[in-house]
Amino acid sequence: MKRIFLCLAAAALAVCPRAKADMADDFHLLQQKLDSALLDIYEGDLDPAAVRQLNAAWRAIDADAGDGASHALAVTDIPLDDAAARIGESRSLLQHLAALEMLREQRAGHPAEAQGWRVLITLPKFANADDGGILLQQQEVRQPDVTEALAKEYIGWQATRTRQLMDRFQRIAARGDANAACVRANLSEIRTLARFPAPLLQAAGLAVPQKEIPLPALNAPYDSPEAGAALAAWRESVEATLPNLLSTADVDRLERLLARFVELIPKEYRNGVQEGKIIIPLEHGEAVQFTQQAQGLVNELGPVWRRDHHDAYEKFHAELAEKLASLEKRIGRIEPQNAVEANTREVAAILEGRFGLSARRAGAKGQVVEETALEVRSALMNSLAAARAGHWREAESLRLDAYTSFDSEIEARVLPRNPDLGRKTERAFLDGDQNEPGIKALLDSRATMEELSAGYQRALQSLEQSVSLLRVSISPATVSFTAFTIVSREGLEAVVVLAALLAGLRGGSHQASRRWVGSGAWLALAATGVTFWLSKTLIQSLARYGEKLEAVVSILAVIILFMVTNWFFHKIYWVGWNAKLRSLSKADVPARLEWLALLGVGFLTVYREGFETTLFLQSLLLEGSSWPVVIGVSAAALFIGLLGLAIFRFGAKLPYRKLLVVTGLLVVSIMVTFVGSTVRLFQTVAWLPIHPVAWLHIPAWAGQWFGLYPSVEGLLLPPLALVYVGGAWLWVRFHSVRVEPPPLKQRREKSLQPAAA
Amino acid sequence: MKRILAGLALAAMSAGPAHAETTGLQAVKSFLVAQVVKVDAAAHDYEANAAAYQKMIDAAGGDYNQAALANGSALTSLVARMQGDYLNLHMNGYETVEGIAAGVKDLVEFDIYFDSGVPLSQASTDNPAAPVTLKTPDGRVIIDRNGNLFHYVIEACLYGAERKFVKPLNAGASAKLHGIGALPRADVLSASAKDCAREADKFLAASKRWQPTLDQCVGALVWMTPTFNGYFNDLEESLYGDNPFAYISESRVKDMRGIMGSLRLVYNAIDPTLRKKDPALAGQLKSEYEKIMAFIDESDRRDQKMRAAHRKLSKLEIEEMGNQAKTMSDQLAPQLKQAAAILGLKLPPKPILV
Repeated sequence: MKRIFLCLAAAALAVCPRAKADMADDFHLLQQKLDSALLDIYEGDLDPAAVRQLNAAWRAIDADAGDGASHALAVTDIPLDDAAARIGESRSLLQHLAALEMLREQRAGHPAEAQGWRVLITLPKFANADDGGILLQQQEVRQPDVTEALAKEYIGWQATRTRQLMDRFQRIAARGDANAACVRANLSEIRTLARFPAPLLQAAGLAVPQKEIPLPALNAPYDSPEAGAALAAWRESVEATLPNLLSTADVDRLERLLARFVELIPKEYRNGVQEGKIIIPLEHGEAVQFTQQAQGLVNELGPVWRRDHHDAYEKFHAELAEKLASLEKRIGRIEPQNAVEANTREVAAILEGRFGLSARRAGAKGQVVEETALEVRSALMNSLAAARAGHWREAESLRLDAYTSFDSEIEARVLPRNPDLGRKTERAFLDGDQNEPGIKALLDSRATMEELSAGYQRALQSLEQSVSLLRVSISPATVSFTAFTIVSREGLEAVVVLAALLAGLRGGSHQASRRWVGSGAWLALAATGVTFWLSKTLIQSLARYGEKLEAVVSILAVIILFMVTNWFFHKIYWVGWNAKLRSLSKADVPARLEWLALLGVGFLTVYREGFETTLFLQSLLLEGSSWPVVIGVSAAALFIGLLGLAIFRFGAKLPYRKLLVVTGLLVVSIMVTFVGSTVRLFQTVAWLPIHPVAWLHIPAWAGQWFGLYPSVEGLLLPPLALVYVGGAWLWVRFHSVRVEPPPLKQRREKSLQPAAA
Repeated sequence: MKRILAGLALAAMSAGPAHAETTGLQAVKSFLVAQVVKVDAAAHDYEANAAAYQKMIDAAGGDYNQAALANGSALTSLVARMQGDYLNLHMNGYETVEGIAAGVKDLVEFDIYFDSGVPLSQASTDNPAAPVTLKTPDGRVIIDRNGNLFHYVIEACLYGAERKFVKPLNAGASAKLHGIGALPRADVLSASAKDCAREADKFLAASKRWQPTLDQCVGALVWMTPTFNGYFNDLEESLYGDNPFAYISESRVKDMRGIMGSLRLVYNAIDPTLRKKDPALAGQLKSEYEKIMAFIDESDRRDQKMRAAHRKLSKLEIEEMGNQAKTMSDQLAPQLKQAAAILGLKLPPKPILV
């Protein structure tokens, strides 16, 4: 019994939130004690009791840690006579320990615990803490890619902090304020922070440096030229050991991004500020954000420039940082546009003239996410400015530009990773949801500036989350599964429509018709292949028209489906349907083109799905190697093939009329889905307005599978298709009764006989 | 009893975060209104005392020496009461809600008027001029957009920091007042008191009207939290620079406590909603604000200890304190941004810029 209680108690302790609170409290307590003890040392009044408390606080942290590498970092024996150095060291070790624990919890699949350690880590100024947070909210938190991203994020933060600490210490020393204790504490803190534990570097996929960082020989007075030179030399040796997180491609990408930021700052400022007043806070906020991001990038690229453009770095890096800081101040003070533009030109001149940066350099295909996001942001901001000026059509056109870029480069990548986020972001561009209308809905309803700003802000936030998500690569298994799902979903629709068509053409006399429909379907498969190949070359340049092309193909498919539905009702109710169909064909289509109509039916039924599949698969291919896509597509093809075969086999066993009814119902349901999806596409490309139905919540999957979207147009038009079907049924029935006087039973019996029988 | 407790616990649980959020926002507003009621009461008390003071000076025909000789103790007692009013207006009153008032668009005009506005000659977009214009009853200008009401007028007059706001006394009058060499000008006190009471009434009405939102609360945290870094520059300036009045220990520490205390309260309004989505981040932000409060106390303890020993903090100590303060606010800025992103809040621009 005792054992059971003990086990229960242990289990309760294991899940108790108090444990987490203790860990955070212990961490904060140690940090406070370290800070306080250092001030005591500077005051010349360090109490031995304070040192004992420090050691005790370290032991508490050590007890909270679960990683072997973390235990190795714990300092539990700080001596009174060397307290300054050990306190400096402790401050840095505490950071490394929190990072190691964060990774341990992440690898164990405990995102909340990992985040618990992560938020304790001290951040540098201008740090971006969003990305890791978003990664820890994903489902697949245990992925090695997440480990790598978190480790890199941490190393990036602390490399920046190392530089900031060195800047500060050099400043204190140069001012003559440093004493021996200050020197020991700072050198120790900086050296320890720069010396990342091997497990952290390995987790980030970085090499572990073999060389130790020696401490400099610094002698008082610390503001002497000799001490300054020794410190500068030591800084170089520390810099040399800091991990290089940036590959050549990364440097290229960040440099282009920096140039783009600088290019966009005055544009955003011009849109957001007029005559010394902020007229669009969101635009002004973007100018501030771009300036801060540019400062962050200059910091991040600093070590690379120091290596690759040493002379330019020595002469112009400080000036560049200074000019960016003054630009931020000017924007903050709402100075005149001329001043901001002149300042930006100075920054751009240094970047282009001294460091050879240009936004016009082309980027690699796989690294377009951040730049596309920037384009999207810029287009959205211009759209908002146009709306504010009352240029609604221009605002809509710019929104569409933003959406098109988002859709082709970002959304397609986000969907496999986080479908909810992908759809939420898409909706932020279009109709939005119950409480938060999307941009298109707001533009269509000529919303107030405040509502518009809120709508654009929501879209920007979702966009930012999407970009953060894309910093982690996708697992091959997910790629395969996504490819399988896409091809299966699209293939299923095509198979059902084809089955319905071919079922209606059962019998030897329709062999030629079946051949035409079948040829159309095969032709469509071939055309899909060609489209896939072309989409890598020709269509890439037409990417921005992808949605419009899809809308055109969709409307053709809807027309074909209307024809098919119409034909079904004739087939079921018209006695001697074959002759009537022939006469109908003659009436509607010239006889010599009948084969073309049948070919078209087969072709468009399959090609509509093929075209959509192609667009999706291209995006998946951008995410990594082709093999996972090939595996997913092959599995889906097999699945669809078997399913198609089963449907045809099953159909062949069904009584002819029953088969027609079943497939007819399926065709009608697919037609309604097609109409719903096509309405949505038309709204997306701004060929139809959007009027959201705020009180109605329709889950995202209902849109994906049934074409149901909560807008007035999306709810009214698909039922019209049903009205058409119902009308056609009534008309045919009424007409058939008038044409065919025999009793219904007799008529049905006759119609149930396949023509060949 | 157990049942009642269980029922209460159940009720508390079922209330959920939405209720907690409303309660948190309501707590911010209740605190603000309660403090501004005190500010308003102090303003009206100051107005009454200033009127009594004016009456005594007028009774002496505007002659401050004669007034001191005739009613010396009553005058000094009134000055002491007005100084008490000022403490209640400023340190015990406005400073306790400065974090909210200065961080929220709907209330920032009162911050500029009372506490943060600068003279027109020094104004910029992010340091706006205080629109304070005072005139004597006969229409002479006392101050025309030359700084905020608290520091540039009331404090300068009551404590004699501005020569033109006081009347020097002759030796006889000064001896009657136990060596006090000057008295505040009654017309300045009267005009500032009337103005103060009128603006405090408006401030109270605006506070009652204000409906706090989570967006505004996050904005107040983002814009106001870094302000406490600057205190250490002022401390160094007062000890080692040209301006010994840059940091008056008692007032500035109260100032810091007031601002950061009100920000801690503002954070508590966000905490329940954030805790539901990211408990670790919520816990960290809460701890950071607690840490800042403890840090202010610790810094003050060190300063007071040195002052008591007739020593002063070294530049290195002040630098280290400033560094620790900066580390805390640098840590908070991105985490608050992250919290805003998680909660889907839009960060409002700096209130004085809109």
